[in-house]
Amino acid sequence: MSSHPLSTQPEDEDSIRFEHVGMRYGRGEEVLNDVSFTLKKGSMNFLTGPSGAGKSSLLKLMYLNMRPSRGLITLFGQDTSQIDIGAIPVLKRRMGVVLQDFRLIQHLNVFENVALPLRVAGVKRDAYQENVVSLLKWVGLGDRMRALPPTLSGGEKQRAAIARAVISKPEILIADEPTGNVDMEIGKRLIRLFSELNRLGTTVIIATHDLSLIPSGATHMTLNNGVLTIPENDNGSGAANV
Amino acid sequence: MSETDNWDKAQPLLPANSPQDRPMFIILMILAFLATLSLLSIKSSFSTAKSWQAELQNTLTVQVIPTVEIPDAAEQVKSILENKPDVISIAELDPEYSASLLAPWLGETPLPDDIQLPALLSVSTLPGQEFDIDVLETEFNQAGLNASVDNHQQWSTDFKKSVLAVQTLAILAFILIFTAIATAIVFATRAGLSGRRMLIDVLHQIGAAPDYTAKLFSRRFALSGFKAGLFGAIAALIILFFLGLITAGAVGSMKFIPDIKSGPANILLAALIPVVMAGIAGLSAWRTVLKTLFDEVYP
Repeated sequence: MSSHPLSTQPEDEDSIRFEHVGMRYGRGEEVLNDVSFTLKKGSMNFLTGPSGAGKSSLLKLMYLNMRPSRGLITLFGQDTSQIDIGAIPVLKRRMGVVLQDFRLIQHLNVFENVALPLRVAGVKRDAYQENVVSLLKWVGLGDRMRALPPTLSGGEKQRAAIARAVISKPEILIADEPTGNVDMEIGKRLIRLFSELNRLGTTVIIATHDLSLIPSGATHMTLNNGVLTIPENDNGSGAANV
Repeated sequence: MSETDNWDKAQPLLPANSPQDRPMFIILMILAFLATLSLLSIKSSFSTAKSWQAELQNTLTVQVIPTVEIPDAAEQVKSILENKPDVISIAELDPEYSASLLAPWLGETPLPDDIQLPALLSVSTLPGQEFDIDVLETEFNQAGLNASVDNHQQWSTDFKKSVLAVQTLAILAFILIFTAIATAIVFATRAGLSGRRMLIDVLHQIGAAPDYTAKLFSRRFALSGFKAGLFGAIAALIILFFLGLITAGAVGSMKFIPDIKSGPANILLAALIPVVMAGIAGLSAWRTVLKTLFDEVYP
């Protein structure tokens, strides 16, 4: 792999903080029940739990795709309920999101898909071309830059989606079942990729149902029937109970 | 040399020729064609009616019935009219032409010698001058002349009614066509956005401001509306050009067919169609994207 093209973020503050958060869809029962935790900046976290436990809902709250029914969510020190709608795009640019269905734009090649966040942020093409190329090489897609998503394998799509999520050097990387569509070998490689990003300073949270992928040293959060548990012996390097 | 040196241009986020937009593009093109025909017909009907109206308003027809006592009655009427300051010119219809006007009723057989046809004088007057027909006829009678004056009032009134009916229908047709265009554009925009929902979601997710996304779709749909309008308007102008060639020299009702060779006015009017369609499409896309974002995407 090439040298890492991303920078780190040294400040010491919580990236995400949930306090007594509950969430329900419509008038249904709560899918998240009194969830409280903090994610330390630069920590590596795994969120596990059975299907339907509320993992995706919890992540959606983190990346501002939904609002909680109750409780307080603080993102980069800002109360999300008080954020002006015009400030949401700015906050979202500080986060990278990888979803299970990749969400690659079908008519754009890999290079353009990965460069999209920079293009949207108004960065000149000349300024980002080399960065995108080196990142694509780093994730092993150096020879697939001009390929369209329908011609990519599952693993390639996933790596392209990850590259797009990290190209703008986000402070938080949120991944929802990133290994769900790839085989075990590629899944492990992707986790190594996330660990590498984390080592360089990015706060990472990965939702997965595959416990075997969790590396030693990472914080393991478990969600069951909307209730979150974090091991009490966690020393605060990652997620912690509030 | 860098690997990306030949990547000068970014791929468009919204491709211009998307197959999913094609059916609606064709419908919009046809509607633009009809709207152009309708709009130019309205203009043509107004200008033709105005020209005919002006011709009628500034002419009088004097019918002079010659008698045995005054065989030169037409000349005497002419001399009275020539003294009127508002009269510009007087033309007497050729008696043979007058006789031919009776042919549909009396056949081609020559009239008996003892039946004298009235002389018909076409009098041009200054624009805007109203002649009092009764005063004029009294003056003729006092001179012993048997002459009647027609200012075409009855014909003019009937003509105005007919023209008004035609114009009302044309305007109504134009309004309906344009309503159909606006509705089709709104529908096409919504369908187009629905087919590109993932792009909206992704743009939102990576931090695109609502204005950025709205502008992206607005420009794309405005361009599409403009193209459909342009092709439709050009097709209409081509058809009118050939119709103009076919009906060249024709009179009467043919004057209602817009003459695109008569000047730039008709072409400029036709150019409004794509511009207005682009405006409606752009505005519709802008509103729909923002509504989608604020109603469904933003938490």
